[in-house]
Amino acid sequence: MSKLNLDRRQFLGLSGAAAATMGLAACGSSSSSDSSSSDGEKKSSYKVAMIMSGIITDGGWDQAHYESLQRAIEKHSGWEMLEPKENTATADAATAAETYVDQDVDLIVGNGNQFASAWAEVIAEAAESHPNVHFLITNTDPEQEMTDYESTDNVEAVLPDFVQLGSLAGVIAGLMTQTKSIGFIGGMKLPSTLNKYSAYLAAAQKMDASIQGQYNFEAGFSDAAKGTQLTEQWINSYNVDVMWGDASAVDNGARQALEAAGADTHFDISQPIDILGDNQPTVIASTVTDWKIDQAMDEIEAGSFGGGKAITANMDNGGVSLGKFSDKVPADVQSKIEEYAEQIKAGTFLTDAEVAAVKATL
Amino acid sequence: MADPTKKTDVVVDQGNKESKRDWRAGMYAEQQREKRLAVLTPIVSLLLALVVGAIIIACLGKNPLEGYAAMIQGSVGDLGKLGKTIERACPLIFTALAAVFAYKCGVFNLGGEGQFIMGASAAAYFVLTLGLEGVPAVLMGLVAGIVFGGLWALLPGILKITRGLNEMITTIMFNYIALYFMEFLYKNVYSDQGLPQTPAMPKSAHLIDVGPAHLGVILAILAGILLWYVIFRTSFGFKIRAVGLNPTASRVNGFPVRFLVLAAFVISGAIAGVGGAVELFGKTPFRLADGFGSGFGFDGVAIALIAQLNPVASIVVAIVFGMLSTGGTMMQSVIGVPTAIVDIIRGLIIIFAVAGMAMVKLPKVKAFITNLSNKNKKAEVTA
Amino acid sequence: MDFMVALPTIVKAMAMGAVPILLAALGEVFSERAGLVNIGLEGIMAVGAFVAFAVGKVTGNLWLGLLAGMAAGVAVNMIYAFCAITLCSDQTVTSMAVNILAPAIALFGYNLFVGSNPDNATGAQMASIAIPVLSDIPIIGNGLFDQTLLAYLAFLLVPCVSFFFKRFRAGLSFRSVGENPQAAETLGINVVRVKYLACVVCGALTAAGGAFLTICYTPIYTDGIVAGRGFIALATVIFGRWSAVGVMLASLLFGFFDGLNVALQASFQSAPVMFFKMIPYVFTIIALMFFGSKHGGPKACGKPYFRESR
Repeated sequence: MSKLNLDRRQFLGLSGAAAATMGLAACGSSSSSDSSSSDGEKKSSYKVAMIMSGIITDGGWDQAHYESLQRAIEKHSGWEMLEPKENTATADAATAAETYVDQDVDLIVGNGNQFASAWAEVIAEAAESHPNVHFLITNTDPEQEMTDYESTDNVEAVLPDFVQLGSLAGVIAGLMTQTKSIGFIGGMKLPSTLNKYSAYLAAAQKMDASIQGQYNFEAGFSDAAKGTQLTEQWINSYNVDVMWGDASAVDNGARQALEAAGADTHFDISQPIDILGDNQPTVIASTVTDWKIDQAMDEIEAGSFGGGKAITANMDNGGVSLGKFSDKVPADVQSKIEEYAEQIKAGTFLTDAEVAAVKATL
Repeated sequence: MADPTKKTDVVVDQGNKESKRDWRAGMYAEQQREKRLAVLTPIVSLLLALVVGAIIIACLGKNPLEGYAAMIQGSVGDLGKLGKTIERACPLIFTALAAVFAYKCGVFNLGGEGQFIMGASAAAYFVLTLGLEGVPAVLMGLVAGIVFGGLWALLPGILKITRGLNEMITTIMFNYIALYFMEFLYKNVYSDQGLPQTPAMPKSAHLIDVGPAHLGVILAILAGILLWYVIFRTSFGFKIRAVGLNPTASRVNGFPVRFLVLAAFVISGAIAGVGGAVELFGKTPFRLADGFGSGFGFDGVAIALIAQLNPVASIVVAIVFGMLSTGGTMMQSVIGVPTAIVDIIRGLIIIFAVAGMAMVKLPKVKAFITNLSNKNKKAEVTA
Repeated sequence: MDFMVALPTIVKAMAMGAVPILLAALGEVFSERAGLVNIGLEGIMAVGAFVAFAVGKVTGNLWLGLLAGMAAGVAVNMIYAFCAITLCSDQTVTSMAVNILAPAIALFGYNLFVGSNPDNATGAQMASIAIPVLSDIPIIGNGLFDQTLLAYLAFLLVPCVSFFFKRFRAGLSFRSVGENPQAAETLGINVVRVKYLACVVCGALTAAGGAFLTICYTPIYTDGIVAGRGFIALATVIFGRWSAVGVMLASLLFGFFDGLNVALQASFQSAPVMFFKMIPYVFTIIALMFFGSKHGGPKACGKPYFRESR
């Protein structure tokens, strides 16, 4: 019980650590911050930063955004990516963006519509003080969610074609379900969630009008056990045998319940990244979203970015696509799905009225 | 929660002033020493946490000094950033003050977050329902925040004094209920075009800027000073502290202990609640949405404890926490480390501070420190 | 909702949902019996969940993962133990700091683990074992008797813990430390050692509860996966009146209401589901109102023990 010793030990530890830090600092003091803002005249190096609600390894939403950004970086040699800001609480969303504004980052990406309201002021201020900082907010409809913006000169939004996504998943689910009962878990009741589910069910019912859909839009994005419980309840009460999820980690829980019920007869369609593989026996296909950050980069390089327009990510520009199929999807079904996918791409598959009809029942 | 400094304070106030002058001088010296330690310990723990954080950063192959420089630059580098930092600290000041007041009365209110949320929810509800604008909206919101924050703390208070339920547990449960209640409000009652958020508060009701930060910060600081006055300079505050130190003795002395405990709950909740309203009117996005108030309650408790239950010190500590939040992003983006590092440093600060404060109060360590300072004095005299 | 159709699933959700809470609550029983309130269960569970997941993935042996997770839980809880026992710091605040620190450490580790190899995102899963005959009982059989081995072990632990506190000398000395440490010390019990021991057990069991989430429930770790279960475990300890059997019943009851909440969500999809989500918490408060009387619980709980002030 000698407190005296402890005190000394801590002191020694402290000074030692401090010395070590100093040493390291001295070694690695190569500041690589040549922020030469060359007034828009033929810039050759750009910086991009992403502010995200979750973590880049969540196996869903945030990871998909991160991967979109990585793909865009690969295509654009002049661009450098800063460390993404993860787990951004609402209270920190605005200051996080300001931090990157101060560093004259050329593009700041916010991965969800909550940033649209959190950033209104930041974007207005940056428009005056840092006109070469651009903002891209995903999953946001500018006509709805940016109405209170003072200036939209440096903002754009990305809006994936939710109906295409839902239709693709619905076609797969409709063709694969044996029990005529399919399910969907969404993390949060967003307009995008409603649109996705409406198209999903409408498309599935186009395959077979007797198909019933189960949904939950309030599962959150992190409690995987909740996904397991919900899916189990649906399997046992309604015989659900195909699931499509929009809730990151919670989808993993759903897959767990499907696997427990038998991976040969219970299937999952993953979203928004393709996770098909040996350790995901229930996944038969996936609907993949790319948030077209590369297009935003092109526009910035060309100087045409801004105006508060929405980049639509759809099947034409590769923003929406089908992932790989597993062997459990028979070849003839695969080709059928491909066929329908062409119709979906051409916009001849579902009418707006059909989607709206489902939406009205929610 | 026994705070020896305050105990001696009371004794000195009531002690026989004529005799024992020597004894008082000795006590005074010890008090001074304790005060110095009370300031020193959190500072040392902050530095210690930063050093550990630096080691982790260095292990990742990044330069910690560059990171910390970025953190300081990003949080207090200019007036605007300082303003943002103080605004970020503002809700924490309120929740910390709420914790301070409750703890002074021996009430472990861990429900600051729930009370904060209920305050903001009530403010939003009344402003949106009555269609208020401008100053009336703000006043209505603040009153609603006070009332509903207080009510939300009254419930666990009643459960404590009637059923003897541990408020630590019940307040945490009430946090979850408040969270889902707010969800109901922004999803079902006042959803903004189907989005999971309420419409923004009317522009005319946004708190005006005073210097670099919004008016709410002034309110928070005033609340801190007022609370300091009430706790340490009024007889009500004295009774509250007495109950916190020794409820049995207070009861024997004829203090209405149950009433005082209940009052501590309600006032604590009201402070947190008005904090919620201030956050709603003061900070973008001026609306309720997912994540509103998340984590503020626990941070507030930690701040209160690091500040040794001193309302004014709480303001300072809250600003340090604000710096970590606003500067943390700058640090991680400049040197490229994951976000979790900032959380680790925050957790370490709390642990080191709590451990350090407990350590200096241990009899052996105390004796050692007394010894040390006496020796120093002797050395000074001989020299 | 057809309640009879939904019931077997609710029972299953109850039994599975109860396990992590039960394990953490049993850990807390040890801690509080020895006079230490530890509200850091949530954080310890997060670390246990991550370490068990990561080690299970790397070694391919889930039991090794569990052990590693438990060891990590003990290590984290030693921070609390050192501050609360040796330094006599405020127990609530110390454990709350653990709640802030531990998930951050787990997340940091997860970032490194999965960041270095994306394949690490999904781990392995413990298979469930159906007990013959019993698992064929209608309605409850599948839910209660088709569980993972870890779940059975958790429930088996209940009589063991109960027996330990009632019959064993060591258990009795635990209780005396929680009731009156000064008296215990005069009886020759090493109070500090007992308290440290309690923290070891608490850390290990709580971490096992967290590990259950990642090696038995879903084969992934994610930030926030504990989702408040640590706090519920705290409530079940009071509700279960600091006894192992009481805690088990309380956690099963909580599991039931959680299962009911999900069943209601699954059936009434357009209803305001946040009210269903409130059910477990409202229920906990109501249950505490009726059962959690002020006379339960170790008397010296939450108070620091200054050996010198003996």
